[in-house]
Amino acid sequence: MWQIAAVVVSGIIMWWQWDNIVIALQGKRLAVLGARRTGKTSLLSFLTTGSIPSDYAQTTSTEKVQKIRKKLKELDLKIKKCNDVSGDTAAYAEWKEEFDQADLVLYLLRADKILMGDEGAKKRFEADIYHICTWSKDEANKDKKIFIIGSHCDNDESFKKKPKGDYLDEFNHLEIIEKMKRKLVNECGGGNIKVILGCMDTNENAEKLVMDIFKQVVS
Amino acid sequence: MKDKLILWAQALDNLSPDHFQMRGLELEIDNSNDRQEAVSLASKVTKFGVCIFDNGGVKLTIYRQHFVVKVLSIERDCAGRLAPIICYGGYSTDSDINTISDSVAAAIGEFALKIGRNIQSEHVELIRDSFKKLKKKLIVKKKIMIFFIVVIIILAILLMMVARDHQ
Repeated sequence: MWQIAAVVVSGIIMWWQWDNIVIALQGKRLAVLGARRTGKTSLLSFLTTGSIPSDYAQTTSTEKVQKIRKKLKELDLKIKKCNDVSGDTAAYAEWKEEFDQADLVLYLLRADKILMGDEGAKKRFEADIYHICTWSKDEANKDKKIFIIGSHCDNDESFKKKPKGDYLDEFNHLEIIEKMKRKLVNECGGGNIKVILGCMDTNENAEKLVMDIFKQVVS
Repeated sequence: MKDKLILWAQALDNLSPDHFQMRGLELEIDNSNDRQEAVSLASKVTKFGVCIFDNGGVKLTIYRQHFVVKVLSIERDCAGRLAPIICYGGYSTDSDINTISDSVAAAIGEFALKIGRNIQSEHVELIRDSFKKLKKKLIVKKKIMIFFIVVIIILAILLMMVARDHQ
């Protein structure tokens, strides 16, 4: 009896959550930003086609991405078309354009490199957040939802071993993450900056990551 | 012509800054203004333009008398991704497309060598094919324009004749 009740309650919560995700994302525009090889093209490809490209090219000049219609389990989403931008610092002007037009900003970074203490990755992260903060100061960009997505976690052995919550806590307490989150909150005037971790080595893992992102949109 | 082209390629190690060539010169790392301008010009074409040729690793996109050719080099980056070379330039309806095509093919080849890449000879041929497509498109455009001008002239003459008959 209790088991049936639990299934019904969890079903209602799930349905309510899907409903909220659809409302929160329907017709919205995404900006997918991040340094080179952080997974921007993979994420956009997964959102548009439902699969990770097996063979793909570096993104140089900005590429159009068709309207996103994502069907994930019971979730059927239509998100406005966006662009796939280069990850080079020379593309900051392109990033700004995407940022200005977006409702939700997904900033990707190499979680594996940050965890390893890679100075280059940290320096780049700081430079990117500095720019994002500058753009956020525009009146039109205030209170924009920004998500920090740590990708390539599969390269870190402890990702599979540790419980998801512990791993995320550990990542969130890294000095650089705390510093950048503080900077985003203080200077962008935004609320809680969400950090999501995952990987896109397989379609299943990409789906998990996308679901985590979507869930965070409404939480 | 070669000096009017912008050439761009991402570094294969994904760490070093991208390679740029503008006005015939390699852009230094600290020349962020020109580097950003190069990205913006090329991106405007690929973002708003129409792809008129996409075959075997060569893609030609045009937008308001500007073009972007994307050619895959033989080499891949450290992550195993295909590494394209971008060439941005302009043309007009009166341009000699064959000259542009030759200049683009030569410029991409030289730029590739400069940054330690190689372009397949088939790709060089495909670059020329892509510009042949552009040439055809421009000829059709010209023919349509001439047709409309002729139609307008004929209509004007007819209207004048009708007006004269009524007088």
